[in-house]
Amino acid sequence: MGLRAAHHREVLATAPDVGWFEAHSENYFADGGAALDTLSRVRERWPVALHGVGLGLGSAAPLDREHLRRLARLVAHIEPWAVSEHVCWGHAGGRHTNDLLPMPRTAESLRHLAARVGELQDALGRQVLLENVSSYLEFTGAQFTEAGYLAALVAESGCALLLDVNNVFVNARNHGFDAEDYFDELPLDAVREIHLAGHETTRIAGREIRIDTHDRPVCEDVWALYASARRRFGPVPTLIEWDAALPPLAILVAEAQRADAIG
Amino acid sequence: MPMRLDELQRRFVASLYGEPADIEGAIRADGGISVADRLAIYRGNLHATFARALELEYPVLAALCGAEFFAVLAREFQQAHPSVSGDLQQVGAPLPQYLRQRFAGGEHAYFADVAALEWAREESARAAAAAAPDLQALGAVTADAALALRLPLQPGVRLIASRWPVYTIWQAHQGPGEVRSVDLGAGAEQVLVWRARGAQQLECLPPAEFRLLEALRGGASLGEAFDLALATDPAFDIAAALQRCATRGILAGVQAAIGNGEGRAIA
Repeated sequence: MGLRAAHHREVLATAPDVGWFEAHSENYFADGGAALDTLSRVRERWPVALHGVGLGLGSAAPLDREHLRRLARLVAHIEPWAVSEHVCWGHAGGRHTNDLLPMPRTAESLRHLAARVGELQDALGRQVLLENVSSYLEFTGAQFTEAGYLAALVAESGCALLLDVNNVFVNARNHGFDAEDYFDELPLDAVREIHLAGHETTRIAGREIRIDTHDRPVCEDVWALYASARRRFGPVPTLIEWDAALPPLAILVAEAQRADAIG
Repeated sequence: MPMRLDELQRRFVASLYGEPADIEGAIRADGGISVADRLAIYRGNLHATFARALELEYPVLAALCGAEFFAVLAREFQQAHPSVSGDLQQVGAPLPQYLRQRFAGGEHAYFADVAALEWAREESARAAAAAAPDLQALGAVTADAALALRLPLQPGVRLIASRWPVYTIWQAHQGPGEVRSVDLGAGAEQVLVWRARGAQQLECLPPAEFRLLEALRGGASLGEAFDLALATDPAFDIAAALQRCATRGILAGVQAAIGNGEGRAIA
């Protein structure tokens, strides 16, 4: 399950029955202090995955060397079982959006992103997992489907995938594709981790749009799609992301156990 | 021919910041939702994420402002100081300085010092921990040698001096219940921020003790720091102040002052 600051004390005090924890890398970039101490102690008892939300590998602007240095330092310290980033970009012209922005799915952007993934893997000395993001717009001139873009990224960079089933569902609804077709296009053995999350359904100009919010339980449609993903990709480690309006730890543990029970 | 990646991203970010960017043609307008509405989702995220990060870093400032004013302030500050890092915990770094200029001379001039105190807590929370000094070895040093020592402070120590009662203001916003009202005219406060037992600690210091710590942090020898403290308060109790430094755990390994001030680590 996800390790969030609000639950740090309780996790250490109660040692919940979960298989592993995932931490947002940037939240532990500090030189010292309580948060980093907590993650170190969690690591003594459980496997930990580090999930980056700020590197924006698909940005055309130069890679932030300081960010990379801090990530590499954290990876060396924590020795996570997985290091993941997103198939996204986030900054241009010196301004960061601190968002996971969708890639234009062109051959040019694929070459760029694959090279950046290669740079990251070289810097860390290990394979990384790349996660599909939710999106509310698509760029014109796409030369790949979204899943085809992921498959090409895997082939070109040698990365693995973190498949966010909620994001697949959200994008399938927002952009009108079939989630099962999306799964069909992914390389079977590249999916090493799965994310689930809750999302919001809203309307703009009378049309429905799904917004990825991470602030509520996983909906039944996404659970059903997850069952399908497990049948295809096997029992890969699964994490439920809950970042806003955090419920009590016990509810997160129960959601995590539900995910483990689906085989 | 699709737009080049760097051009598309530059225009997209400019558009989110409300600048003319000519990006609409690069975005698909299907599904019955306009390009403008689609961009508005991302623009909303840009502002909400930034404001939320600021509020987490500056909870007392946010409370002093109230939700509406804080939202306006966050938006203004974001325009002037867009995030320059993929690490959201960095977005608030320029805020104290921004507030100092924004509210100079006005009724909200004290906001900058409250923000400086809150940012000092943030920095303290994330600072490295240096090795503690060997207090026994220190105790064995002769009086003359002791005066020549340079006592470095822990990296997590911050010193905030304000002509307003910033500590009292900060304290009034801690814990549940009504916020006590604070008399802004109550005078200056000097605050020591440090980390102990895994949490940030704050304490209001008398001017002489604050001066001592400022001097030590600036690299003065113990003797020079004592002189400055005594100039501030002739009745300053040096031994008691040093004892408090040791108890708080704000000292790092000790350097002897030699000639050029480079110093040799003795503990």
